[in-house]
Amino acid sequence: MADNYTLWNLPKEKRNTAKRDSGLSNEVRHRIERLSNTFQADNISDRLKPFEAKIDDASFFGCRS
Amino acid sequence: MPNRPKKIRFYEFGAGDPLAALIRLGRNQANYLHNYLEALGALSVIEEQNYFDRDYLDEFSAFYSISSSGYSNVCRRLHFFSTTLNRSAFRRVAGGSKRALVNLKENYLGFVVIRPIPDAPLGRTVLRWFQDNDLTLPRITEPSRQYVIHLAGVSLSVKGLAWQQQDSAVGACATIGLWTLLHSSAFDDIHAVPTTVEITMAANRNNFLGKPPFPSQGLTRFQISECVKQHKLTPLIVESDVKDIHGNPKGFSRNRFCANCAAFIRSGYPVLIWVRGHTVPHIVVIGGFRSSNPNSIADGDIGFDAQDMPYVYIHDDNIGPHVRFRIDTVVEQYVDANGQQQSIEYVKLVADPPATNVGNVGVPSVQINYPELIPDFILAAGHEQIRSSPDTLSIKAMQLANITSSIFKAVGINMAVVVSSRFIKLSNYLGNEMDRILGGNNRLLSRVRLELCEKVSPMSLHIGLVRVGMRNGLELGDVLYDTTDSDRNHPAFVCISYNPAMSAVFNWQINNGSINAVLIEAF
Repeated sequence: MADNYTLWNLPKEKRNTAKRDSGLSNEVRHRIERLSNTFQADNISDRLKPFEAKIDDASFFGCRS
Repeated sequence: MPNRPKKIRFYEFGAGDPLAALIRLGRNQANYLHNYLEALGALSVIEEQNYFDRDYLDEFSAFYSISSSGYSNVCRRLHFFSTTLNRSAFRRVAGGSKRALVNLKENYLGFVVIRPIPDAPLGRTVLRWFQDNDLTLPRITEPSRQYVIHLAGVSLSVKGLAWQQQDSAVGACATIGLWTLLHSSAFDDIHAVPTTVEITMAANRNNFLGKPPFPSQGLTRFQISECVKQHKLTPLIVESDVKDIHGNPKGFSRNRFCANCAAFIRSGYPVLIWVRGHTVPHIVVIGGFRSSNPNSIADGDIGFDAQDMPYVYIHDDNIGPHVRFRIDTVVEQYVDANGQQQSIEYVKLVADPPATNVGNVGVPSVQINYPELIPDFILAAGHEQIRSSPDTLSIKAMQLANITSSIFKAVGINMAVVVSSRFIKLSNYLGNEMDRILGGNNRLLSRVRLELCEKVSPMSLHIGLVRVGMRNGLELGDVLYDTTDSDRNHPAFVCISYNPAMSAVFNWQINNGSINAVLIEAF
């Protein structure tokens, strides 16, 4: 299948193929279910920083064409 | 002089039409519009010589009527068609010929209102988008709406987003930006679109800074936010995140800019952006973007689905509507206090209209030599009920992508995990979105829709939707968040899994308390 769709427009007729190719089977589900509770996700604090910016000043905006 | 009856006029599209006449008066925006229409295939023009425009009448009432120049209160309106048309052909349409009407409707390209203001004649303008030839990575133009016009009893419609030139009397670029913002399709069912006068007055109501509202020279950020609030909407504000060595804001990282623009525009909200790059700060509105699949996300990594977004489509009162700008970045090098070479990178927007074969109808093709725009601050007008910030939704999205990716890697699945977020009306999610993903399997679609209604706590009118999936577009799961609580609480209503492995990922989070929500399996 063409690797060319977004998460918002995958056509119905392509979905079954995409599911089959995903490799995410019931067997993967069982492996995840056996995952220990002590498992830790990666640290991505640096990647969250862009979304933690705060609002500051009140500049004036106006431009004559 | 009193207004008098005047005939509807018909023109061949080209150097002799009334829009081209404005170009000869030095109106660059008219040149852009003429080129745009030529590229759309315009062949003919109808001119209504007497047209009362709601926006202009309000401007006339507030400002122009008491000017000693003696402005008229009547406008002209030009309609453009990609078919040849003359009076006798239009007579057939006005006489009820269905065949002639269908032809006219199919070939209607939009309209331009011409105000009787010599220095700023281009009023409310709505033009059709260019045909989108890429159906897999489409142009996203969710904020566009249908505009229905009536001409001698004939109804025509065009889908677009309104644009106009600023007159610097009742509206500067900020007013025009807000006006376009409030034309959004997202507000079709609840709000009448305000005029430019109403916008300027609302912005000045509680933030009167000692200056008269008219002539308008611009608005502050607070006035813009206040105007949005006055129209019973929520200003959703996103600040730039890249700072220089002294802590001064420089602009947006590509990830933050693209993730937020995509989230807003997919939600039907145009994006108003403050930009540097002009001699004074300027405001423009993004009404669409070209989607991309996130090729840059490597196997085993995570990222936003729109992070490779190549273009945005901008309404700029200095140029015109739907102007394509390329998303690029500025890289600045500096040496830090420890003598180490460092760099910062932030978004710039470069005018980059597609090559089109124009200049063949007697009007020269215009070259857009325009400063690069550095976005500094962005704002969308959301529904009043939305209290969540888009940043909080983005953080939840990245966290979900990270947990999913980490768990997959732990069990030997090393794939790129893609994430996306947006606001969406619950009825649209249950209706269109569920149908798009589950349609064709009636039993499954029915079960999931009923479980969403019966097994989940009552959900808000608008929900925050975080979607996780794969690089090829396959959805793995959704998390629906309450938009009516504080960002600190930010409760999730439900996780919807489209895949057994994703169910296990959601269950792992539910069991360890990182998501407090019910799980619905949609497979």
